[in-house]
Amino acid sequence: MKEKTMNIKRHNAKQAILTSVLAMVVSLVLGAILLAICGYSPIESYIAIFGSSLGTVKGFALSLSQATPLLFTGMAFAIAYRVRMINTGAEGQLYVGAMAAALVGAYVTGLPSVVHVPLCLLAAALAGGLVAGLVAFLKNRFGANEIILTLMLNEILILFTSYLANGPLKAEGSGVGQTNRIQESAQLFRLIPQTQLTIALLVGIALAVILQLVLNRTAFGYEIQITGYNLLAARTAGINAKRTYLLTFAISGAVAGLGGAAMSLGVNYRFVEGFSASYGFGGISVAALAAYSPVGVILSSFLIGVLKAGAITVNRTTDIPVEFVSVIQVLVIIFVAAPTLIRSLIALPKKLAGRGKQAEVKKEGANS
Amino acid sequence: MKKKLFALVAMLLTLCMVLTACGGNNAGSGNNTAADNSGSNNAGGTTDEGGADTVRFAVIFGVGGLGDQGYNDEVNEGCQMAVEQLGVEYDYSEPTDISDFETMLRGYADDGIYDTIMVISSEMVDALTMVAADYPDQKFTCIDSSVEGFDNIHCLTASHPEQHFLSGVLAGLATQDDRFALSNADNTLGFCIAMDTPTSNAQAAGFLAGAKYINPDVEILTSYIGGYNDPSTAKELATTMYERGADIVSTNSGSSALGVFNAAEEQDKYVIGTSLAMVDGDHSLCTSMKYVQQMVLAECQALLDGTWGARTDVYGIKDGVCDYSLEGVNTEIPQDIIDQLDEIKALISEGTLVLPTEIDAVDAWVAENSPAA
Repeated sequence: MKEKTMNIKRHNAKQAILTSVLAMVVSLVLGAILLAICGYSPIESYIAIFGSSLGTVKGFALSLSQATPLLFTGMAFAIAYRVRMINTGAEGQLYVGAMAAALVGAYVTGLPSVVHVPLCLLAAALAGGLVAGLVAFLKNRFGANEIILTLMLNEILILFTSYLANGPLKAEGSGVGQTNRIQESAQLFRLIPQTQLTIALLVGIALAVILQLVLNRTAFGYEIQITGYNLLAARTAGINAKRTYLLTFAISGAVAGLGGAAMSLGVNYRFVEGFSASYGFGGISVAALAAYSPVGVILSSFLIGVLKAGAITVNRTTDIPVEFVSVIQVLVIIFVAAPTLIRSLIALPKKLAGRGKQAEVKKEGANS
Repeated sequence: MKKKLFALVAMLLTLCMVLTACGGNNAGSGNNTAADNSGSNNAGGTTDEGGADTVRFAVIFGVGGLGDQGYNDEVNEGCQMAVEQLGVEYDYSEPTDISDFETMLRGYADDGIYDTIMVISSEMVDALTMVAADYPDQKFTCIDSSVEGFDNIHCLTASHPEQHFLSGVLAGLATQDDRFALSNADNTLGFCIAMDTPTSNAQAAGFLAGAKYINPDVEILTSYIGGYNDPSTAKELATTMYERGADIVSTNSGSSALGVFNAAEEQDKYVIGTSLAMVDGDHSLCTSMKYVQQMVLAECQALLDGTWGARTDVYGIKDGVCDYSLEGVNTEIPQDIIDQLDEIKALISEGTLVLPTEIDAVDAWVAENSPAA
């Protein structure tokens, strides 16, 4: 019996990987056709997109650094999805996390880096976790819908942090809405000098592995999975579903908050109004691409990071419209979001083969 | 199943390898495409004659990107003017978020083929200082903001008072002139100041000085909006000014200015802004312009002439960077007023008139310089 479930699990995982890979291939092919139609050479374009983002040290570092915020927001969405909660609030949680980290980074002084950085990260995780925890509390208590709540909270949180950055916490003499620069002791170590690749990436990967282990190997993880699969069964088994919702969603928010800290402490060195290029929502597609597995998010965020890094290079060195890279990105997501489409594509060769055989059989029949 | 998967992964890996290998061989091809790119931007077709000593620069636009019909497009216009008039070449990037600034700056600096790399707004100053410190041999240009303490950054800014001075003169004349339909009997003007910062105050001082220069008895109401992105406060302040008898209100407040324009429309009075995109034909009296195009042009000229240096240059009316514009304005400005404005423009250009930069200094300046006082 156990073996059987393992097999099913493995089969599902395989299916998910196959779907994602095929989605990638199909969208690259479609992208190539589009490029050709618009009069650009597909091969040259793809060389421009992937050549530097995979082929040079700096380009590779750029891919990884572009992937970093998405790694966090993708994980945030994936972990919440495991209890079948939809965290559309990663964007807002990212902003409060970034603000919290930037404030602790700027106003707490005299600490060694080893203490200061974790303190900033903790502040960011707490801020994001509290905001998300509030949503889960309202869901538990009043049956509020977490999608609507988080979407509305996004606006509130983004505007509130904007207000802070433009008002009481604005950096002296700055023309832009931003807080004071963080202390040197709070800056994240750059793994490769002169790139934006910081230890935030390693923190993210470690976190993904830990979350995956928690999900698969601990009682709490088991509760999360059961609550997600079948609420009634979970209740019957004596699992406190409300507690599971609250904790899981708070963890999800905390992870998104850490993503904000990665930007404040590693890239911008302060909170800057409007710093996120929709990383929160980008996380949704990253999570979907990874079939909601925290470890899978490492790969899927890397993939999107490569495309984004490619977009930056294309932007700088060629006259191919940057939007093409977005088109490919969106195509990947569409195909992943529509797994049936890909599955029918997978089944296509079999079907054709089947028909071919039938035809042969018929021919043979006619001959004899 | 397993076999298929393996085959797929193998295929993908080979694809990656092929692609990266190509990338390695084509290290130079990136540059070629870049050249093609600037060639396609180059309407004058002067790319070929330039040869090795052509000036070539890179621009990083703001997050709004091209097509904003505002600042970014104006900078690009300047770049194209430089291509046509001076035969330079340029490449550009449109960042999608602020973290791209640093990446793109480093990218251009690594290319090492640009005479200068241009950033165009104060948002990018952080990234600029970070990157400029790492590339001491690369020249950088900072337009419309000032950075100090680097010997590889040239800053070009507009003279703050000069941008608003001529509009002030026009307003000072129009408020007492019956030929302007929306003027009232009160000798009162208004100016909504964006923020209590030296830059913002210097701009206001220019307007005040202009109006009082020509009309020393004029009363000018001023208040601080407190931000560049707060149209509702701006609207309230402007409405109060109009109700207190001001027939022309000017502002220097970016998006907040929308509120002032809104108030002007409701009160049916005149307004003076700083953006051509905001001009309201029936209520705009003129626009206080800062022609960033001219600054881009000036920078290219400096590179060609070899007069480039790590300093901050201030451009004003003399250089054609600051001026008033009547574009899109329906109100007809009488010729004698335009002649008067031209005379004053000449006085500033030849250096006879040097404008005050602080609001407190305006009255003393007027007493000393105004022919009417």
